[in-house]
Amino acid sequence: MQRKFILLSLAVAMTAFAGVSNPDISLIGQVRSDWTNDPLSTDQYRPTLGLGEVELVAQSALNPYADGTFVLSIGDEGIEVEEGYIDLNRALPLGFALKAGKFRAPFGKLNAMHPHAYSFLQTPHLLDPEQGLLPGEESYDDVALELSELFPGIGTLAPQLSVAVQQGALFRTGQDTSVSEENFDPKISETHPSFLVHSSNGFEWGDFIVGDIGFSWAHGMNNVEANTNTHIWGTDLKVKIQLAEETRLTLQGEGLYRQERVASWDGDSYSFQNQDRKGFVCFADLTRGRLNIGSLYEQTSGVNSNSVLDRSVKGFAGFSLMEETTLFRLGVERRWVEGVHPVNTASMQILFSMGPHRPHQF
Amino acid sequence: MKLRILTYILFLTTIPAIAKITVATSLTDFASIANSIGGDRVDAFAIAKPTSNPHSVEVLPSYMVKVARARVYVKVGLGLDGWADQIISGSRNTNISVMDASQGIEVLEKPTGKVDASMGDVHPEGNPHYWLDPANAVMIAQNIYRALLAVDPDGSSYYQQRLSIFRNDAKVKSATLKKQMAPLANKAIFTYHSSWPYLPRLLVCELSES
Repeated sequence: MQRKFILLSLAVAMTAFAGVSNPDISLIGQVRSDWTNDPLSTDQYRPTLGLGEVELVAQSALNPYADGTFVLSIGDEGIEVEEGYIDLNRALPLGFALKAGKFRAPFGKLNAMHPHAYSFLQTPHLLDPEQGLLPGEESYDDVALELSELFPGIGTLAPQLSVAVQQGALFRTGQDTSVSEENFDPKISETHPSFLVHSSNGFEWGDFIVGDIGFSWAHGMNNVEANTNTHIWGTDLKVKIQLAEETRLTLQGEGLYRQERVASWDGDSYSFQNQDRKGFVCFADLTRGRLNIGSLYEQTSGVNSNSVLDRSVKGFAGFSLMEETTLFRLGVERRWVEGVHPVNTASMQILFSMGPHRPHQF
Repeated sequence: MKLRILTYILFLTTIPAIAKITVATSLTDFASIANSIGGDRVDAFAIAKPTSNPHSVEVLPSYMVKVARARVYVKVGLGLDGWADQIISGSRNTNISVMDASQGIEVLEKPTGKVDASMGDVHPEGNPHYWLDPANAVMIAQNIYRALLAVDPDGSSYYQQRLSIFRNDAKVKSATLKKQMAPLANKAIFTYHSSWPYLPRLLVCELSES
């Protein structure tokens, strides 16, 4: 009887508490159509139409000191926890904040954002992990503990510094499939924590120009046994100019430089090689009311080479029916990869979002 | 050397006595009212610029730095400045007192029944542009007075005195405005956005929206 009473009391207490703990839930869907003349694509000259990944976002204040966020992506491969973290913004002394969980690493500005929040449709190749500049499978997101501090700036300068310790598995070099079984190095699967330092410096210039300049550095071990490391440096700049009451121009760019020592196991010993790669992306986006139009340029170099291996020019346009609830986007791209015929791609997307929308941070 | 240290300690101990209370507000009108009530004891500033659309203000890191120094934040409330929560949270200011200035306001256009996005730009808590009625300015001033009193009880009589002056000024101003706008009574006013439903109470005019 006493047990039943306790259970009943708990149920009542939980119901009452639910009223203040229900999270803001939003669902984001994206209908997308692509056309390409890429000879390597199975859909060359054939338009495709599909429902891309559905994003489910749940955000809530957990208590007066912390907020919680979960971002799940639902796609053909099932449900994946894209992000899940706690933000202790109002609990630590001296203005420190702690973020813990899995989240998109604040390496530059673009990686930290979800692609649906970009002002263009096609994600820059520079951020594509296949390019090998940033770690990760789809984006640079890792389980991490991040401590950040917002410093009192001079005038309108707002410097912020964050230091994160990450799980580090994303930096691990994959086992070379050409290596025979007897030469397989089991220790290559070992991981070592990686580190990320990011500094952003927001500024306001008069009443009509706002901007932010950032610097990032990430370090991880790509082979624990061989003790070989990867360093990635990045710099980013964003400037927004208010041209008229409803018109603004955004100029943004990011540069990446990756330097690493890579070990190859031949069965008896390691041989080492130093590698570096670099690239950048920049774009201009003109927004007037509900319309936006812009263009983007990006390029990456080859390994240990200053010559451009891959470059692309994109044009994009968008129209928002009402704020962020319904967006129509168009994107065209011409991409040149060394030794390959230029590839043209055209894409169209309808993005729809249900639920409350939190304002995007600059 | 000892004299220098003593001077330094004396200087530090006098800082609290001369330091003003920093009040951050979402909109300029509220900062103006906070300065009127706070006088010399308060330094109020607004986050949104006079030309900004108060419904959608971009969250800038510099706003967080400013709010990190504030003791009081005055929100418009009624769902207008949801962006303020992100700025307050991002400021990591554990010492800030957040005050919703819409407390006690007679809210207009509060929807009844089911509210959903098909209704367009709808505010489930009612029309949030209440500060455009001088009578509501007095209510806002009272709310700010209470917020200041909570963080600075020593200034009680000073704030009380300034609140009385504000009340009288608002009364005189309302009367003057009524007189000046009398020729517009019963005339239709065309507005772009539903920002002015509180005004006809003062002007006795008819309002049309685009």
